[in-house]
This record gives sequence, structure tokens and C-alpha cells, in this order.
Amino acid sequence: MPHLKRLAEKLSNEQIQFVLVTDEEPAVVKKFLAKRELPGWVVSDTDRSVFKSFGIKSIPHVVVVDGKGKVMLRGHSKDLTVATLRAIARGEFKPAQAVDPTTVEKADTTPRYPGSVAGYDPLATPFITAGLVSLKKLPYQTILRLTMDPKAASVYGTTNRGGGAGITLIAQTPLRLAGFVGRFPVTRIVDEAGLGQATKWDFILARPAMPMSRLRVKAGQVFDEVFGVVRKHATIQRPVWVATANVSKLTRVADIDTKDPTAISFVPLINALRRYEVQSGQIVVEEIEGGKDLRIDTFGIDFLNADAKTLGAWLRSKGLRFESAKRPVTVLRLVARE
Amino acid sequence: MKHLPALALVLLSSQASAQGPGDAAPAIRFEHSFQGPRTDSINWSALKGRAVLLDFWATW
Repeated sequence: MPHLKRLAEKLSNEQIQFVLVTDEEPAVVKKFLAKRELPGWVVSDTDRSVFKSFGIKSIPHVVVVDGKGKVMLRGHSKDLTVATLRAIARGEFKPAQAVDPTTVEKADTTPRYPGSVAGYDPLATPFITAGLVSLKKLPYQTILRLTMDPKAASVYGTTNRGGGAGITLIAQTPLRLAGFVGRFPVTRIVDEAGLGQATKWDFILARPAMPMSRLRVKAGQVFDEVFGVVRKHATIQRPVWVATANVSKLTRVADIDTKDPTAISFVPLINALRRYEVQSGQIVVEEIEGGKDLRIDTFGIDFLNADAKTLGAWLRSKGLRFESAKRPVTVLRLVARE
Repeated sequence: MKHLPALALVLLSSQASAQGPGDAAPAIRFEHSFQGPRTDSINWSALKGRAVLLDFWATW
């Protein structure tokens, strides 16, 4: 709410009305309002008619409507900026079209690798890791578009095949948990670790199934959304998460199916991560150079105490290379479990 | 696991009413107003010309 309050203050001269909608009983809301100051109007939709008609499945959620009554965007309030809202208030905003895997790219089932997609190196695309989430409260109702692959539970490495926009979630999780990660449709779920009945996600790895440029988002945004969605619906047992970025190459032959170099097993990574506990904070590495090989191996480093230089050296020693020298790389702080 | 695709379909169709970017916002009608005008004055025609940020939230 502090973020909304700031936005409301900065937009006080614009033609925009904040309306805070809850479905709670008047007594509860009044009690809350006695203690806290909220921006804009505060109303209650106790019969949930507005929640329903807007398709609100989880909160917090914002919908911004322009002066003509058209929905301009929806999402998480923390993603809203003064500039965006001002543009909407002034009628200068062009809503982004949601990425729809059924229309953006027709299912292309021909194997695309090696090298058939210009400029797209799936191994160079970021993958995103989130850790230690209890699944008990995950939102089954958010399942929207789900490409069910009956073989997925036993097959890994097919995650980038077949085209389609979206994020591939590779999770140690029941297969039915899928859906949207923020705005990003999950087109396929692969239960890579084969633990379909697990009640916890130890880790979630998300990787875009198409070039990030085509998703028109940045890795950080994807991460934020993955994190945001999971945070909203799951009990987080440990506070922190991570995005690793731009792992460029796999050279261990055993890890690569030469017919389909996207067929990388995440199992070693999952297993490696499982040996560590996620701690708070994150390390942002501005620059890492050198090293060509990637071998997803044990994370034998105390990230908590590692500075960028140490981390860089460690990554090199592991044959890990982060491709972009300029792009920050955010890494989990992990410490070995006792 | 077998009936999951059907489940996905059902959910997909139920989601079809959810408004996305560019769609006209559905009517709004609130039962209680705690801050701002009375509920009968909160509707799209009264808000015409103004952008509206609807924040769905909860006190908890």
C-alpha cells in the first residue's frame, strides 16, 4: 500500500481515480481504516460481483481502466509506475497485447535445433530459480493454458521444443500445477525430477520457451513475476530467490543430446541446489568474464560471503560463464545445509 | 490425471470473461463505500473521462 500511496500523491494532478476494492465485511474494513490511511476511494464488494466480473482470482491485483472505460493493464501494483499511470490518465497509453501461445506462434512440432532459429540460443537464455516453496496453497484456479504432455513426467529436455510463447516451468511438483506465471503463459510443465506427488517445490526453474526479445520482457521481469505469483500463493519458507542469467554453453557431452541441444537435464542442478539453504539477500555481479564451459555441477561455494570477484572465480572454476559482461547477474545466496 | 485436460478447458472458458487489455471494463457496483462518494455514484458513467485504478486488496 505505501507504493500506491506514493503513486496517488504523485498523480494528484492527473485525471485518475484510485479505487481500493476489498470483499471484506464493513466492520473489518472500518477497523482497518481507523488505523491506516489509504489513498483514493475505499469500497467493499461483499457479494464479490466485481471480483467475479473482473476475473480476480487472487489478490493483490490491480486493473487500470482508461477514461473511456477500457482496460489498459492488469497485474501487480508494485509494477505500476507514475509514467504508465500518467499516460493512461492522459489517454496516451497503448495496452500491450498479452502473449498468447495459441496465436503468437502456431505450434511448430518440428525439431528446431541445432541452429534453425536465427539468433536464439536456448542455452544462452536465462533460467530462473526460486526456492523452497510449500505448494499447499498454490492456486489451481490459475490454470489457464496448459499443454499437457502425458510423457512429460518421464521425459525431460523437451522443454523448448514445439514453439509457443511462454515460460517453461520445470518444477518438482505435481504436473497439474501450471498456468500463468504473471502475464506469462506456462506452456508446458515438466516434472523433471519425477516426483509428481511432491507437496513441496524445492525449486522452481523457469525458462522462456522462446527468445526473450520476442516476449518483450526482461529476465528480471520474468523473475519478478514468477516470484510475485509464487509469493502470493505459496508459503515461503525461506525468504529469498534468485535469477541466474545467461548460462551460455553446455560442454559436457553427456548433458547434451546432439539432435536437440536444448535437451539439458536440470536434475543435476536441482539436486545441487537441494543441498543448500536459501538465505536472505542477493549478490549482484556486474561483470564476469572468461570461461567457456558450463557444467552444471555442485554449488560448492558460500554465496553469503562471496563478493563479485570470488563468485566470478568460482563460476570460472566451475566452467560457468555468464555471457553478458554488462548485464547484472543476480545469484542466490546459498549455504550448505548442516 | 486423465481428466486434467478437461479441467483445464473448463478453467479456460471460465476465464474468458476476465477482461484483458483493450476490453471494455465490466460494470461495477459496490455494496459499501468507506472513503469517497456513495456507492450509487461509483460507476463508469460517473467516472467517465477519468482513468481508474482498481486495486483489489484485503486488510489481512
